[in-house]
Amino acid sequence: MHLVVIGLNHKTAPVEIREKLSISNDALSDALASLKSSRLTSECLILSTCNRTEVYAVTESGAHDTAIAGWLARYFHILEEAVSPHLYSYAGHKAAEHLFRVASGVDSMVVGEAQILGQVKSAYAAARQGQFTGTVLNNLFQQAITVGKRARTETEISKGAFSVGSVAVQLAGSIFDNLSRCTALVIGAGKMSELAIAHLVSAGVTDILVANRTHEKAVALANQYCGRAALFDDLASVLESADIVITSTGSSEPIITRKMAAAAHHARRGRPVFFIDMAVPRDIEPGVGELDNVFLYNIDDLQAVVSAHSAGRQVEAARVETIIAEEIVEFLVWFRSLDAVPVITALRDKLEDIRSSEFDKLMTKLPDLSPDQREAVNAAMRSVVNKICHNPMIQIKGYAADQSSSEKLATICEVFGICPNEAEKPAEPGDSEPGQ
Amino acid sequence: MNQITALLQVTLALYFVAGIMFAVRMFSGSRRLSMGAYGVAGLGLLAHTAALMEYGFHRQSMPFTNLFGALSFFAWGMVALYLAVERRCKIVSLGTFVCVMAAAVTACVLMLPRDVSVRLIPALQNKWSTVHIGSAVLSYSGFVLAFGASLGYWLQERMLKTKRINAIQKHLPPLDVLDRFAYRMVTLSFPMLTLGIITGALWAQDAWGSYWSWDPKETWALITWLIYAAYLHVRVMQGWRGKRANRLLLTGFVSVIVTFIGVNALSHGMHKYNW
Repeated sequence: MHLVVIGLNHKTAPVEIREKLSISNDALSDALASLKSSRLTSECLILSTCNRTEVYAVTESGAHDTAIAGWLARYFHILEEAVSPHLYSYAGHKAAEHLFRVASGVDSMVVGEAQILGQVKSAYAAARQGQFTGTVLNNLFQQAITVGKRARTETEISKGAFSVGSVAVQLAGSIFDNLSRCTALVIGAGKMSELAIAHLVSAGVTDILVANRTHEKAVALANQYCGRAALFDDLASVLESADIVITSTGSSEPIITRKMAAAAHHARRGRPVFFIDMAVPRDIEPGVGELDNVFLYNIDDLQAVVSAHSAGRQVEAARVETIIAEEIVEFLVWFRSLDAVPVITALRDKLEDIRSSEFDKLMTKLPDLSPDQREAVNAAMRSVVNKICHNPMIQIKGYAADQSSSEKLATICEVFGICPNEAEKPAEPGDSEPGQ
Repeated sequence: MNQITALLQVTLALYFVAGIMFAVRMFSGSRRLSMGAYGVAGLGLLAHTAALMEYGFHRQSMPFTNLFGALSFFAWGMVALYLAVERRCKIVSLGTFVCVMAAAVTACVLMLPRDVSVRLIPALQNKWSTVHIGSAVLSYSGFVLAFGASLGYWLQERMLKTKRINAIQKHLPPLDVLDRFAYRMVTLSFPMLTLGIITGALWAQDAWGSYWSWDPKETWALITWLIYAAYLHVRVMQGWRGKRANRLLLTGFVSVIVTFIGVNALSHGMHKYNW
């Protein structure tokens, strides 16, 4: 039994690829059904957010990651060569660790953001509802949700301003009461802009405008985050409606002049504006910050606040890693014990076979026994078998939780002359609650 | 009188404790603590109300007809107004300011001489007097709350502009909350001040036969009225927000203090409080 994860995220793939592989919640069960019918997996789950698409699967023989990658390409109608450089895959405990990091928000674009846990929960709910998950994924995801909750309640990872983006959002919260009522204008469609949008979205901003010199890029980025694209040439008028303006373009000349900002500020009747200039060279004239009720922060200003916090971040990140390490041990003990189940079953079956055939032979030799005597003989034989079995069973269970479990289990099989793969697989009640 | 003193001492202690609780709440973010702070401030307000009623009963007039009563009523108005609007405005941090101010004023009140035997001079026994003094003093309470918010605004604005991002900055309310709260307080207090000035004029006509006599208190009340009228005008009509509007609020507060207390300390007009 193998646990694998195959997918891509904001670190490995640009938005153009990610948007092709993103699946809405409604389409999830269709995708899962397609994956299941490909017979590659015995359990599967798809986690798809703005920033990642990942397939979690349990396969019976071999990791099958290239086959699953092939399925991804086919299902999303994209060339395998185009997608495979962006894919990563982890197997076994690395896959579990990856999921735990995702659920705790450490792997997010906005470290510590709270949305991802909800997305993990709903992906799990969708897969479980369609009975695409079994014992392994049920257990794994329930534990991942526990990890996510612990990371949020036991550490400050979701509270601190540990990155430029989160500092920007925190400052915006010192100006505006309710970010969900704010309009944010993001100028530029590069990686920084995307990161900024991710921060804004995770802080609850819903009205997002994206403007870029190449309009198509603005449209792609806006679509990915349910925003609107604005024409770059209309900037002066768009500026009027924006409470938060974030710029990160490669322009060598300032894009927002003091004159433009003053005009927009006048049209807004003096409501405060928060300008964040992430670009080097700068996109916003420094004079903009001299306007009354206009707050201008550039990348250095934000960086200064971040470095004041960075000691805190390392402490919190380390605490999250500790939680993940604790939970991974717990999961692995359980996961490895699964390997022992077929061996134990095979051993028990083998001994039972021997016992019943010997019993039958004996009965043909001793036909005169009374039913009571027969039963006594039967009970004695059963007792012998059980007593012989007892210690090996405990040892097998113990081996399974061990690192080198497969070697030891192989030895056991050799010694007893059993082959667990031929034996019937353990029952997997898909809807039973595995013990936490 | 001893009973009133005791009640005011209890009030002072409760306001002080509530102020500390609000201050701790600012930095800890515990919701239960803010509920506790409201509870303690509310109890303080009850004790305060009892003290004022007792005092009024002793003097057989409204409690605010002398400096002791007026100051006391002023502190009472601050806490009452704050507790009444806080839920809507979600401005917990201002609780610290309000409770500390109310505690300080109550402490001053306790140091004032008080004599229940002094009855009002006949000119002050008039149907307008209750409305005149009551609404004027209550408007001062509201203006002080607006001042608290504008002080917070000034601090927050300064820190954001100079990019000093620290724990104090983080725990101050957002600018637009402070701005909105100050505006609300002024829209509440301004009509009250207007009412106070009008009923004052009517009372003056009844008592002295002239509506307006440029008594220092009257002059300063008019200046205060003009400053807040200007604030409302530029905020509503010109859309002034931020620093400039806030400066008017800070100026307005100075004028309120001169009108309420300063005039009495400096001059001997007919508005001088009797003890």
